[in-house]
Amino acid sequence: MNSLQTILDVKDQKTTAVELVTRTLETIRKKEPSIHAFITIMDDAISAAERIDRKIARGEKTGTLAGLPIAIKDNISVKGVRNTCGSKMLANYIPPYNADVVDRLLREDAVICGKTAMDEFAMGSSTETCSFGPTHNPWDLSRVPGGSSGGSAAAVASGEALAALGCDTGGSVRCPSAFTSTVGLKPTYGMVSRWGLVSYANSLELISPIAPDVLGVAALLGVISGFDEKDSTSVTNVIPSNVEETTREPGKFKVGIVREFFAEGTDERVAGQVHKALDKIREVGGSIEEVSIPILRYALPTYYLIAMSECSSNLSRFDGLRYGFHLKAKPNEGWDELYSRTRAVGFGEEVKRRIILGTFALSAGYFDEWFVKAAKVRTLIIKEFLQAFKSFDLLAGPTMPCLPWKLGEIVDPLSMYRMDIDTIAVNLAGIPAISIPAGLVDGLPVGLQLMAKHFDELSLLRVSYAYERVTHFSDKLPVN
Amino acid sequence: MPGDQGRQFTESDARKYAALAKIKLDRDEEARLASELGKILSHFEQIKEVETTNVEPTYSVLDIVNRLREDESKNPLTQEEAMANAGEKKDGYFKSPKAF
Repeated sequence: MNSLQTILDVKDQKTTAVELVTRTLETIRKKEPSIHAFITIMDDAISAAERIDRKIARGEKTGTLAGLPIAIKDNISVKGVRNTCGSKMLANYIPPYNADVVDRLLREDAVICGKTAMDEFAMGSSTETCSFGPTHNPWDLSRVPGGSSGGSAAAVASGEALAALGCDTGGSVRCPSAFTSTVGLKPTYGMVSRWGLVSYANSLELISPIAPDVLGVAALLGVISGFDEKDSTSVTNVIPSNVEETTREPGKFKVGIVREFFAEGTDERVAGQVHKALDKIREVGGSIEEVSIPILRYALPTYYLIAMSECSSNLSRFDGLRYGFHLKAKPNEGWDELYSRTRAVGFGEEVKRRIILGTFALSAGYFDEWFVKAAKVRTLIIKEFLQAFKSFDLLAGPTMPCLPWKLGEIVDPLSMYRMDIDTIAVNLAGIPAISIPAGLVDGLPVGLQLMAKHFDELSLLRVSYAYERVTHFSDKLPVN
Repeated sequence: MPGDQGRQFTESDARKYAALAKIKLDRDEEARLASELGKILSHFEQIKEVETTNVEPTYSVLDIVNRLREDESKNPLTQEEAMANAGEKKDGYFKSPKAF
Protein backbone atom coordinates (compact mmCIF):
# COMPACT_ATOMS: atom_id res chain seq x y z
CA MET A 1 0.00 0.00 0.00
CA ASN A 2 1.43 3.37 -0.95
CA SER A 3 -0.48 6.47 0.07
CA LEU A 4 1.61 8.83 -2.04
CA GLN A 5 1.31 6.87 -5.27
CA THR A 6 -2.46 7.20 -5.06
CA ILE A 7 -2.17 11.01 -4.89
CA LEU A 8 0.07 10.98 -7.94
CA ASP A 9 -2.40 8.74 -9.77
CA VAL A 10 -5.15 11.28 -9.11
CA LYS A 11 -2.95 14.11 -10.39
CA ASP A 12 -1.96 12.11 -13.47
CA GLN A 13 -5.63 11.29 -14.02
CA LYS A 14 -4.91 7.53 -13.89
CA THR A 15 -7.69 7.48 -11.34
CA THR A 16 -10.02 10.14 -9.98
CA ALA A 17 -10.52 11.49 -6.49
CA VAL A 18 -14.13 10.30 -6.72
CA GLU A 19 -13.01 6.73 -7.52
CA LEU A 20 -10.54 6.77 -4.67
CA VAL A 21 -13.00 8.14 -2.14
CA THR A 22 -15.80 5.86 -3.35
CA ARG A 23 -13.51 2.86 -2.92
CA THR A 24 -12.56 4.03 0.57
CA LEU A 25 -16.19 4.52 1.63
CA GLU A 26 -17.00 1.04 0.29
CA THR A 27 -14.16 -0.43 2.34
CA ILE A 28 -15.48 1.44 5.38
CA ARG A 29 -18.97 0.04 4.87
CA LYS A 30 -17.59 -3.47 4.44
CA LYS A 31 -15.15 -3.44 7.36
CA GLU A 32 -16.72 -1.19 9.97
CA PRO A 33 -19.01 -3.84 11.45
CA SER A 34 -15.95 -5.84 12.53
CA ILE A 35 -13.32 -3.07 13.07
CA HIS A 36 -15.28 -0.05 14.38
CA ALA A 37 -12.56 2.49 13.63
CA PHE A 38 -14.98 5.39 13.15
CA ILE A 39 -17.38 7.38 15.28
CA THR A 40 -18.59 9.50 12.35
CA ILE A 41 -18.36 8.56 8.66
CA MET A 42 -18.40 11.46 6.18
CA ASP A 43 -20.79 10.31 3.45
CA ASP A 44 -20.48 13.73 1.79
CA ALA A 45 -16.76 13.08 1.16
CA ILE A 46 -17.78 12.27 -2.41
CA SER A 47 -18.80 15.88 -3.09
CA ALA A 48 -15.41 17.10 -1.83
CA ALA A 49 -13.78 14.58 -4.20
CA GLU A 50 -15.92 15.83 -7.09
CA ARG A 51 -14.68 19.39 -6.48
CA ILE A 52 -11.08 18.17 -6.67
CA ASP A 53 -11.69 16.24 -9.88
CA ARG A 54 -13.26 19.34 -11.45
CA LYS A 55 -10.17 21.35 -10.50
CA ILE A 56 -7.92 18.75 -12.12
CA ALA A 57 -10.11 18.57 -15.23
CA ARG A 58 -9.93 22.37 -15.58
CA GLY A 59 -6.15 22.22 -15.27
CA GLU A 60 -6.15 24.25 -12.05
CA LYS A 61 -3.37 23.87 -9.51
CA THR A 62 -4.22 21.21 -6.94
CA GLY A 63 -2.80 20.61 -3.48
CA THR A 64 -0.07 18.15 -2.55
CA LEU A 65 -2.62 15.76 -1.00
CA ALA A 66 -5.22 15.99 -3.79
CA GLY A 67 -7.88 13.35 -3.31
CA LEU A 68 -6.21 11.60 -0.36
CA PRO A 69 -8.91 10.03 1.85
CA ILE A 70 -7.85 10.85 5.40
CA ALA A 71 -9.33 9.93 8.79
CA ILE A 72 -9.20 12.41 11.67
CA LYS A 73 -9.16 11.52 15.36
CA ASP A 74 -12.35 12.61 17.07
CA ASN A 75 -10.67 15.21 19.28
CA ILE A 76 -9.47 17.34 16.34
CA SER A 77 -12.10 19.88 15.31
CA VAL A 78 -13.68 19.77 11.86
CA LYS A 79 -16.18 22.58 11.44
CA GLY A 80 -19.77 21.35 11.45
CA VAL A 81 -18.88 17.70 12.22
CA ARG A 82 -19.41 16.40 15.73
CA ASN A 83 -16.26 16.05 17.79
CA THR A 84 -16.97 13.61 20.59
CA CYS A 85 -13.50 12.95 22.05
CA GLY A 86 -14.88 9.44 22.55
CA SER A 87 -16.93 10.80 25.46
CA LYS A 88 -20.56 11.07 26.40
CA MET A 89 -19.60 14.58 27.57
CA LEU A 90 -19.21 15.74 23.95
CA ALA A 91 -21.51 13.26 22.20
CA ASN A 92 -23.44 16.08 20.50
CA TYR A 93 -20.80 18.80 20.35
CA ILE A 94 -20.40 20.40 16.90
CA PRO A 95 -17.29 22.61 16.61
CA PRO A 96 -17.91 25.97 14.92
CA TYR A 97 -14.36 26.14 13.51
CA ASN A 98 -11.62 23.98 11.99
CA ALA A 99 -8.46 22.97 13.79
CA ASP A 100 -5.43 24.63 12.18
CA VAL A 101 -4.24 21.21 10.87
CA VAL A 102 -7.63 20.62 9.25
CA ASP A 103 -7.43 23.97 7.41
CA ARG A 104 -3.97 22.96 6.22
CA LEU A 105 -5.16 19.52 5.00
CA LEU A 106 -8.14 21.02 3.16
CA ARG A 107 -5.92 23.67 1.53
CA GLU A 108 -3.91 20.77 0.11
CA ASP A 109 -7.10 19.07 -1.15
CA ALA A 110 -7.14 16.08 1.20
CA VAL A 111 -10.61 14.53 1.64
CA ILE A 112 -11.79 13.81 5.17
CA CYS A 113 -13.56 10.44 5.20
CA GLY A 114 -14.42 10.24 8.88
CA LYS A 115 -13.73 10.93 12.55
CA THR A 116 -12.10 8.07 14.41
CA ALA A 117 -12.67 6.23 17.67
CA MET A 118 -10.36 6.93 20.59
CA ASP A 119 -10.00 6.36 24.30
CA GLU A 120 -12.18 8.88 26.12
CA PHE A 121 -10.40 12.26 25.97
CA ALA A 122 -7.30 10.34 24.75
CA MET A 123 -6.84 8.75 28.18
CA GLY A 124 -5.94 5.15 27.51
CA SER A 125 -3.68 2.79 25.58
CA SER A 126 -6.22 0.48 23.96
CA THR A 127 -9.22 2.51 22.66
CA GLU A 128 -11.35 0.49 25.08
CA THR A 129 -12.43 3.52 27.14
CA CYS A 130 -14.21 5.01 24.11
CA SER A 131 -17.83 5.72 25.11
CA PHE A 132 -19.01 4.57 21.68
CA GLY A 133 -17.48 1.09 21.81
CA PRO A 134 -13.92 -0.16 21.31
CA THR A 135 -12.00 -0.53 18.05
CA HIS A 136 -10.79 -3.99 17.02
CA ASN A 137 -7.30 -4.71 15.70
CA PRO A 138 -7.40 -5.55 11.96
CA TRP A 139 -4.62 -8.13 12.52
CA ASP A 140 -6.71 -10.04 15.08
CA LEU A 141 -10.24 -8.85 15.80
CA SER A 142 -10.17 -10.25 19.35
CA ARG A 143 -7.31 -7.86 20.23
CA VAL A 144 -6.99 -4.13 20.90
CA PRO A 145 -5.47 -1.82 18.26
CA GLY A 146 -3.60 0.14 20.95
CA GLY A 147 -4.52 3.68 21.88
CA SER A 148 -5.54 6.25 22.33
CA SER A 149 -5.59 6.89 18.54
CA GLY A 150 -6.65 3.27 17.92
CA GLY A 151 -9.39 4.20 15.45
CA SER A 152 -7.00 6.21 13.28
CA ALA A 153 -4.36 3.47 13.16
CA ALA A 154 -6.90 0.67 12.58
CA ALA A 155 -8.50 2.70 9.76
CA VAL A 156 -5.12 3.05 8.01
CA ALA A 157 -4.17 -0.62 8.57
CA SER A 158 -7.48 -1.92 7.19
CA GLY A 159 -7.58 0.43 4.19
CA GLU A 160 -10.55 2.38 5.58
CA ALA A 161 -8.39 5.49 5.06
CA LEU A 162 -5.09 6.03 3.26
CA ALA A 163 -3.73 8.24 6.03
CA ALA A 164 -4.86 9.58 9.39
CA LEU A 165 -4.22 12.11 12.08
CA GLY A 166 -4.05 11.14 15.72
CA CYS A 167 -2.57 12.92 18.68
CA ASP A 168 0.27 11.70 20.86
CA THR A 169 0.40 12.74 24.52
CA GLY A 170 2.29 9.72 25.92
CA GLY A 171 2.43 7.38 22.94
CA SER A 172 -1.14 7.64 21.63
CA VAL A 173 0.01 7.55 17.99
CA ARG A 174 3.11 5.37 18.30
CA CYS A 175 1.38 2.65 20.35
CA PRO A 176 -1.48 1.99 17.90
CA SER A 177 0.94 2.30 14.97
CA ALA A 178 3.08 -0.43 16.52
CA PHE A 179 0.02 -2.62 17.19
CA THR A 180 -1.34 -2.25 13.63
CA SER A 181 1.92 -2.34 11.63
CA THR A 182 1.57 1.26 10.41
CA VAL A 183 3.95 4.23 10.60
CA GLY A 184 3.27 6.89 13.24
CA LEU A 185 5.44 9.91 13.97
CA LYS A 186 5.23 12.17 17.04
CA PRO A 187 6.89 15.45 15.97
CA THR A 188 8.92 17.82 18.15
CA TYR A 189 6.67 19.66 20.62
CA GLY A 190 5.61 22.98 19.07
CA MET A 191 6.02 21.90 15.41
CA VAL A 192 2.31 21.33 14.84
CA SER A 193 -0.40 23.72 15.99
CA ARG A 194 -2.68 22.45 18.77
CA TRP A 195 -5.39 24.97 17.83
CA GLY A 196 -8.63 23.01 17.59
CA LEU A 197 -7.28 19.95 19.40
CA VAL A 198 -9.32 19.32 22.55
CA SER A 199 -6.62 19.52 25.18
CA TYR A 200 -5.83 16.78 27.69
CA ALA A 201 -2.21 17.43 28.77
CA ASN A 202 -1.09 20.57 26.99
CA SER A 203 2.66 20.44 27.66
CA LEU A 204 2.91 16.88 26.32
CA GLU A 205 0.44 16.43 23.46
CA LEU A 206 0.86 16.96 19.74
CA ILE A 207 -1.20 16.17 16.65
CA SER A 208 0.68 13.44 14.77
CA PRO A 209 0.38 11.66 11.40
CA ILE A 210 -0.19 7.95 10.70
CA ALA A 211 0.23 6.33 7.26
CA PRO A 212 0.89 2.89 5.79
CA ASP A 213 4.34 4.02 4.65
CA VAL A 214 7.12 6.45 5.55
CA LEU A 215 6.59 8.76 2.57
CA GLY A 216 2.93 9.14 3.49
CA VAL A 217 3.95 10.30 6.96
CA ALA A 218 6.58 12.65 5.48
CA ALA A 219 3.98 14.17 3.14
CA LEU A 220 1.46 14.66 5.96
CA LEU A 221 4.01 16.13 8.34
CA GLY A 222 5.08 18.61 5.67
CA VAL A 223 1.47 19.79 5.39
CA ILE A 224 0.44 19.94 9.06
CA SER A 225 3.59 21.45 10.59
CA GLY A 226 4.28 25.16 10.67
CA PHE A 227 3.85 28.26 12.78
CA ASP A 228 0.35 29.19 13.90
CA GLU A 229 -0.17 32.42 15.80
CA LYS A 230 -3.38 31.00 17.32
CA ASP A 231 -1.30 28.53 19.38
CA SER A 232 1.00 30.19 21.91
CA THR A 233 3.16 27.05 22.00
CA SER A 234 3.70 26.97 18.24
CA VAL A 235 7.34 27.49 17.22
CA THR A 236 8.52 29.74 14.43
CA ASN A 237 11.63 27.80 13.44
CA VAL A 238 9.83 24.85 11.85
CA ILE A 239 11.90 22.88 9.38
CA PRO A 240 9.26 21.40 7.09
CA SER A 241 9.81 17.77 6.16
CA ASN A 242 9.39 16.88 2.56
CA VAL A 243 9.17 13.74 0.55
CA GLU A 244 12.18 14.42 -1.65
CA GLU A 245 14.49 15.03 1.33
CA THR A 246 13.15 11.87 2.97
CA THR A 247 14.18 9.70 0.03
CA ARG A 248 17.88 10.70 0.27
CA GLU A 249 20.30 8.08 1.59
CA PRO A 250 20.84 8.46 5.34
CA GLY A 251 24.62 7.86 5.05
CA LYS A 252 26.43 6.58 8.15
CA PHE A 253 24.70 7.17 11.47
CA LYS A 254 24.96 6.07 15.09
CA VAL A 255 22.10 4.46 16.95
CA GLY A 256 21.95 3.93 20.71
CA ILE A 257 19.79 1.03 21.89
CA VAL A 258 18.35 2.24 25.16
CA ARG A 259 18.83 -0.47 27.79
CA GLU A 260 15.96 0.81 29.97
CA PHE A 261 13.50 0.15 27.13
CA PHE A 262 14.17 -3.58 27.48
CA ALA A 263 13.54 -3.60 31.23
CA GLU A 264 11.78 -6.33 33.20
CA GLY A 265 8.28 -6.79 31.87
CA THR A 266 9.31 -6.60 28.20
CA ASP A 267 8.01 -9.60 26.24
CA GLU A 268 11.09 -11.54 25.08
CA ARG A 269 9.49 -12.21 21.70
CA VAL A 270 9.03 -8.47 21.20
CA ALA A 271 12.62 -7.76 22.26
CA GLY A 272 13.87 -10.45 19.85
CA GLN A 273 11.87 -9.04 16.94
CA VAL A 274 13.13 -5.50 17.67
CA HIS A 275 16.73 -6.74 17.61
CA LYS A 276 16.07 -8.36 14.21
CA ALA A 277 14.73 -5.02 12.97
CA LEU A 278 17.84 -3.29 14.31
CA ASP A 279 19.94 -5.66 12.17
CA LYS A 280 18.16 -4.13 9.18
CA ILE A 281 18.93 -0.65 10.50
CA ARG A 282 22.57 -1.77 10.54
CA GLU A 283 22.21 -2.83 6.89
CA VAL A 284 21.17 0.68 5.86
CA GLY A 285 24.14 2.41 7.50
CA GLY A 286 23.56 2.40 11.26
CA SER A 287 26.29 1.55 13.72
CA ILE A 288 24.60 0.29 16.85
CA GLU A 289 25.68 0.38 20.48
CA GLU A 290 23.89 0.00 23.78
CA VAL A 291 23.34 3.09 25.93
CA SER A 292 21.89 3.48 29.39
CA ILE A 293 19.66 6.40 30.45
CA PRO A 294 19.06 5.48 34.11
CA ILE A 295 16.61 8.31 34.87
CA LEU A 296 14.09 6.68 32.51
CA ARG A 297 13.09 4.23 35.25
CA TYR A 298 11.25 7.19 36.82
CA ALA A 299 9.52 8.26 33.59
CA LEU A 300 6.21 6.53 34.33
CA PRO A 301 5.27 8.33 37.58
CA THR A 302 6.75 11.57 36.23
CA TYR A 303 4.59 11.39 33.13
CA TYR A 304 1.38 10.40 34.88
CA LEU A 305 1.68 13.03 37.62
CA ILE A 306 2.16 15.79 35.04
CA ALA A 307 -0.46 14.45 32.61
CA MET A 308 -3.09 13.99 35.33
CA SER A 309 -2.41 17.44 36.80
CA GLU A 310 -2.72 19.12 33.41
CA CYS A 311 -5.83 17.05 32.69
CA SER A 312 -7.56 18.17 35.89
CA SER A 313 -7.04 21.76 34.80
CA ASN A 314 -7.85 21.33 31.09
CA LEU A 315 -11.05 19.36 31.66
CA SER A 316 -12.45 21.85 34.16
CA ARG A 317 -13.99 23.63 31.15
CA PHE A 318 -16.63 20.92 30.78
CA ASP A 319 -19.46 22.40 32.81
CA GLY A 320 -22.39 21.28 30.65
CA LEU A 321 -23.43 24.87 30.27
CA ARG A 322 -21.71 26.40 27.26
CA TYR A 323 -21.35 23.15 25.31
CA GLY A 324 -21.34 19.43 25.93
CA PHE A 325 -23.51 17.09 27.97
CA HIS A 326 -26.27 19.08 29.65
CA LEU A 327 -28.53 18.24 32.55
CA LYS A 328 -31.53 20.31 33.55
CA ALA A 329 -31.24 21.85 37.00
CA LYS A 330 -33.54 20.41 39.65
CA PRO A 331 -35.73 22.93 41.48
CA ASN A 332 -33.50 25.03 43.77
CA GLU A 333 -30.38 23.20 42.60
CA GLY A 334 -27.30 25.42 42.83
CA TRP A 335 -24.39 25.83 40.43
CA ASP A 336 -21.98 23.52 42.29
CA GLU A 337 -24.46 20.67 42.54
CA LEU A 338 -25.49 20.83 38.89
CA TYR A 339 -21.88 21.15 37.70
CA SER A 340 -20.83 18.15 39.84
CA ARG A 341 -23.76 16.04 38.71
CA THR A 342 -23.14 16.85 35.02
CA ARG A 343 -19.50 15.79 35.28
CA ALA A 344 -20.41 12.65 37.24
CA VAL A 345 -22.62 11.45 34.39
CA GLY A 346 -20.70 12.91 31.42
CA PHE A 347 -17.22 11.54 32.23
CA GLY A 348 -16.22 7.88 32.23
CA GLU A 349 -14.25 6.08 34.94
CA GLU A 350 -10.71 6.61 33.65
CA VAL A 351 -11.29 10.33 33.05
CA LYS A 352 -12.65 10.79 36.59
CA ARG A 353 -9.71 8.85 38.02
CA ARG A 354 -7.19 11.11 36.28
CA ILE A 355 -9.00 14.37 37.09
CA ILE A 356 -9.28 13.48 40.78
CA LEU A 357 -5.68 12.32 41.11
CA GLY A 358 -4.51 15.42 39.23
CA THR A 359 -6.58 17.64 41.50
CA PHE A 360 -4.87 15.99 44.48
CA ALA A 361 -1.36 16.47 42.98
CA LEU A 362 -2.06 20.18 42.42
CA SER A 363 -3.72 20.84 45.77
CA ALA A 364 -2.30 22.99 48.55
CA GLY A 365 0.02 20.90 50.72
CA TYR A 366 0.74 18.31 48.00
CA PHE A 367 1.71 20.57 45.07
CA ASP A 368 5.47 20.61 45.82
CA GLU A 369 5.55 16.99 46.95
CA TRP A 370 4.00 15.62 43.75
CA PHE A 371 3.55 18.02 40.84
CA VAL A 372 6.68 20.15 41.28
CA LYS A 373 8.74 17.04 42.09
CA ALA A 374 7.60 15.45 38.82
CA ALA A 375 8.40 18.68 36.93
CA LYS A 376 11.95 18.58 38.38
CA VAL A 377 12.45 14.94 37.41
CA ARG A 378 11.24 15.97 33.95
CA THR A 379 14.17 18.42 33.78
CA LEU A 380 16.57 15.56 34.52
CA ILE A 381 14.97 13.34 31.88
CA ILE A 382 15.45 16.08 29.23
CA LYS A 383 19.05 16.57 30.34
CA GLU A 384 19.91 12.87 30.11
CA PHE A 385 18.29 12.56 26.68
CA LEU A 386 20.33 15.53 25.40
CA GLN A 387 23.45 13.95 26.88
CA ALA A 388 22.74 10.71 24.99
CA PHE A 389 22.24 12.64 21.75
CA LYS A 390 25.81 13.95 22.07
CA SER A 391 26.98 10.40 21.27
CA PHE A 392 24.17 9.15 19.03
CA ASP A 393 22.15 10.44 16.07
CA LEU A 394 19.18 8.29 17.00
CA LEU A 395 18.03 6.28 20.00
CA ALA A 396 16.07 3.06 19.59
CA GLY A 397 13.94 0.53 21.41
CA PRO A 398 10.61 -1.24 21.19
CA THR A 399 7.56 1.01 20.84
CA MET A 400 5.50 -1.25 23.09
CA PRO A 401 6.80 -3.77 25.64
CA CYS A 402 4.30 -6.42 24.55
CA LEU A 403 2.07 -7.73 21.77
CA PRO A 404 -1.48 -6.38 21.32
CA TRP A 405 -3.54 -7.78 24.17
CA LYS A 406 -7.05 -9.22 24.09
CA LEU A 407 -9.95 -6.82 24.54
CA GLY A 408 -10.83 -6.73 28.23
CA GLU A 409 -7.59 -8.47 29.26
CA ILE A 410 -6.15 -5.54 31.26
CA VAL A 411 -8.55 -4.14 33.83
CA ASP A 412 -6.28 -2.74 36.53
CA PRO A 413 -5.52 0.97 35.83
CA LEU A 414 -1.86 0.80 36.93
CA SER A 415 -1.24 -2.26 34.73
CA MET A 416 -2.62 -0.28 31.78
CA TYR A 417 -0.39 2.74 32.60
CA ARG A 418 2.64 0.42 32.62
CA MET A 419 2.03 -0.38 28.94
CA ASP A 420 3.18 3.20 28.15
CA ILE A 421 6.60 2.63 29.69
CA ASP A 422 8.55 2.97 26.40
CA THR A 423 6.63 5.86 24.83
CA ILE A 424 6.08 8.48 27.56
CA ALA A 425 9.65 9.73 28.04
CA VAL A 426 9.64 11.15 24.50
CA ASN A 427 6.69 13.42 25.36
CA LEU A 428 8.30 14.56 28.61
CA ALA A 429 11.39 15.61 26.62
CA GLY A 430 9.42 17.02 23.66
CA ILE A 431 11.66 15.16 21.18
CA PRO A 432 10.39 13.54 17.96
CA ALA A 433 9.95 9.76 17.66
CA ILE A 434 8.63 7.35 15.05
CA SER A 435 7.19 3.85 15.26
CA ILE A 436 7.86 1.66 12.22
CA PRO A 437 6.81 -1.97 11.67
CA ALA A 438 9.41 -4.43 13.02
CA GLY A 439 7.64 -7.51 11.70
CA LEU A 440 5.20 -10.01 13.16
CA VAL A 441 5.35 -12.39 16.11
CA ASP A 442 2.68 -15.11 15.98
CA GLY A 443 0.86 -13.02 13.37
CA LEU A 444 0.81 -9.90 15.58
CA PRO A 445 2.63 -6.63 14.81
CA VAL A 446 5.67 -5.32 16.70
CA GLY A 447 6.89 -1.73 16.47
CA LEU A 448 10.46 -0.42 16.37
CA GLN A 449 10.73 3.03 17.92
CA LEU A 450 13.38 5.52 16.80
CA MET A 451 13.95 8.81 18.61
CA ALA A 452 15.88 11.92 17.54
CA LYS A 453 16.88 15.23 19.04
CA HIS A 454 14.52 18.22 18.85
CA PHE A 455 13.62 19.25 15.27
CA ASP A 456 15.51 16.35 13.67
CA GLU A 457 12.45 14.66 12.13
CA LEU A 458 14.38 14.35 8.88
CA SER A 459 16.86 11.83 10.33
CA LEU A 460 13.95 9.73 11.60
CA LEU A 461 12.24 9.84 8.22
CA ARG A 462 15.36 9.12 6.13
CA VAL A 463 16.44 6.13 8.21
CA SER A 464 12.86 4.82 8.34
CA TYR A 465 12.50 5.14 4.58
CA ALA A 466 15.81 3.33 3.96
CA TYR A 467 14.59 0.61 6.36
CA GLU A 468 11.26 0.38 4.52
CA ARG A 469 13.10 -0.17 1.24
CA VAL A 470 14.99 -3.19 2.59
CA THR A 471 12.08 -4.69 4.57
CA HIS A 472 9.11 -3.83 2.30
CA PHE A 473 7.00 -3.69 5.45
CA SER A 474 4.18 -1.75 3.81
CA ASP A 475 3.50 -4.71 1.48
CA LYS A 476 2.24 -6.78 4.42
CA LEU A 477 -1.46 -6.28 5.07
CA PRO A 478 -3.80 -7.57 7.76
CA VAL A 479 -6.48 -10.10 6.88
CA ASN A 480 -9.29 -7.92 8.23
CA MET B 1 6.28 8.55 55.69
CA PRO B 2 4.44 5.88 53.79
CA GLY B 3 6.30 2.61 53.86
CA ASP B 4 5.73 -0.81 52.40
CA GLN B 5 2.09 -0.64 53.45
CA GLY B 6 1.50 1.79 50.60
CA ARG B 7 0.14 5.26 50.76
CA GLN B 8 -3.19 5.79 52.42
CA PHE B 9 -5.74 7.48 50.22
CA THR B 10 -8.94 7.24 52.16
CA GLU B 11 -12.56 7.39 51.07
CA SER B 12 -12.70 10.78 52.70
CA ASP B 13 -9.75 11.90 50.50
CA ALA B 14 -11.59 10.62 47.43
CA ARG B 15 -14.64 12.61 48.50
CA LYS B 16 -12.59 15.75 49.21
CA TYR B 17 -10.68 15.85 45.91
CA ALA B 18 -13.71 14.82 43.86
CA ALA B 19 -15.57 17.74 45.44
CA LEU B 20 -12.71 20.10 44.53
CA ALA B 21 -12.81 18.71 40.98
CA LYS B 22 -16.60 19.15 40.93
CA ILE B 23 -17.39 15.49 40.29
CA LYS B 24 -20.14 13.90 42.37
CA LEU B 25 -19.28 10.36 43.48
CA ASP B 26 -21.51 7.73 44.97
CA ARG B 27 -20.34 5.59 47.92
CA ASP B 28 -19.19 2.69 45.73
CA GLU B 29 -17.14 5.00 43.54
CA GLU B 30 -15.54 6.61 46.58
CA ALA B 31 -14.46 3.23 47.88
CA ARG B 32 -13.19 2.03 44.52
CA LEU B 33 -11.28 5.26 43.79
CA ALA B 34 -9.72 5.34 47.27
CA SER B 35 -8.32 1.88 46.73
CA GLU B 36 -7.18 2.48 43.12
CA LEU B 37 -5.65 5.89 43.73
CA GLY B 38 -3.93 4.61 46.88
CA LYS B 39 -2.30 1.87 44.84
CA ILE B 40 -1.31 4.26 42.05
CA LEU B 41 0.20 6.80 44.48
CA SER B 42 2.17 4.05 46.22
CA HIS B 43 3.74 3.24 42.89
CA PHE B 44 4.39 6.93 42.15
CA GLU B 45 6.20 7.32 45.51
CA GLN B 46 9.37 6.07 43.80
CA ILE B 47 10.05 9.47 42.23
CA LYS B 48 10.86 10.73 45.71
CA GLU B 49 14.10 8.72 45.51
CA VAL B 50 15.38 11.07 42.79
CA GLU B 51 17.78 13.75 44.05
CA THR B 52 16.38 17.08 42.77
CA THR B 53 18.06 19.66 45.00
CA ASN B 54 18.91 22.70 42.85
CA VAL B 55 17.02 21.26 39.86
CA GLU B 56 14.60 23.71 38.24
CA PRO B 57 11.17 22.30 37.33
CA THR B 58 10.17 22.08 33.64
CA TYR B 59 6.63 23.23 32.84
CA SER B 60 7.21 23.60 29.10
CA VAL B 61 9.94 22.22 26.87
CA LEU B 62 9.95 25.43 24.82
CA ASP B 63 11.70 28.71 25.58
CA ILE B 64 8.75 30.78 24.33
CA VAL B 65 7.58 33.28 26.95
CA ASN B 66 4.31 35.20 26.71
CA ARG B 67 4.05 35.67 22.98
CA LEU B 68 1.78 38.67 22.42
CA ARG B 69 0.03 40.13 19.41
CA GLU B 70 -1.82 43.35 18.67
CA ASP B 71 -5.15 43.55 20.46
CA GLU B 72 -7.27 43.35 17.33
CA SER B 73 -10.07 40.91 16.66
CA LYS B 74 -9.36 38.32 13.99
CA ASN B 75 -12.18 36.22 12.52
CA PRO B 76 -14.08 35.85 15.78
CA LEU B 77 -17.02 33.46 16.09
CA THR B 78 -20.42 35.10 15.78
CA GLN B 79 -22.54 35.11 18.92
CA GLU B 80 -24.79 32.54 17.29
CA GLU B 81 -21.87 30.22 16.52
CA ALA B 82 -20.41 30.62 20.00
CA MET B 83 -23.72 29.69 21.60
CA ALA B 84 -24.84 26.99 19.17
CA ASN B 85 -23.80 24.15 21.50
CA ALA B 86 -25.32 25.58 24.69
CA GLY B 87 -27.82 23.45 26.59
CA GLU B 88 -30.04 26.34 27.61
CA LYS B 89 -29.93 29.96 26.55
CA LYS B 90 -32.07 33.02 27.03
CA ASP B 91 -31.93 36.42 25.31
CA GLY B 92 -28.51 35.64 23.84
CA TYR B 93 -27.03 34.51 27.16
CA PHE B 94 -26.03 31.08 28.51
CA LYS B 95 -28.55 30.09 31.15
CA SER B 96 -27.16 28.70 34.41
CA PRO B 97 -28.61 27.88 37.80
CA LYS B 98 -28.10 30.38 40.61
CA ALA B 99 -24.43 30.64 41.55
CA PHE B 100 -25.07 32.48 44.85
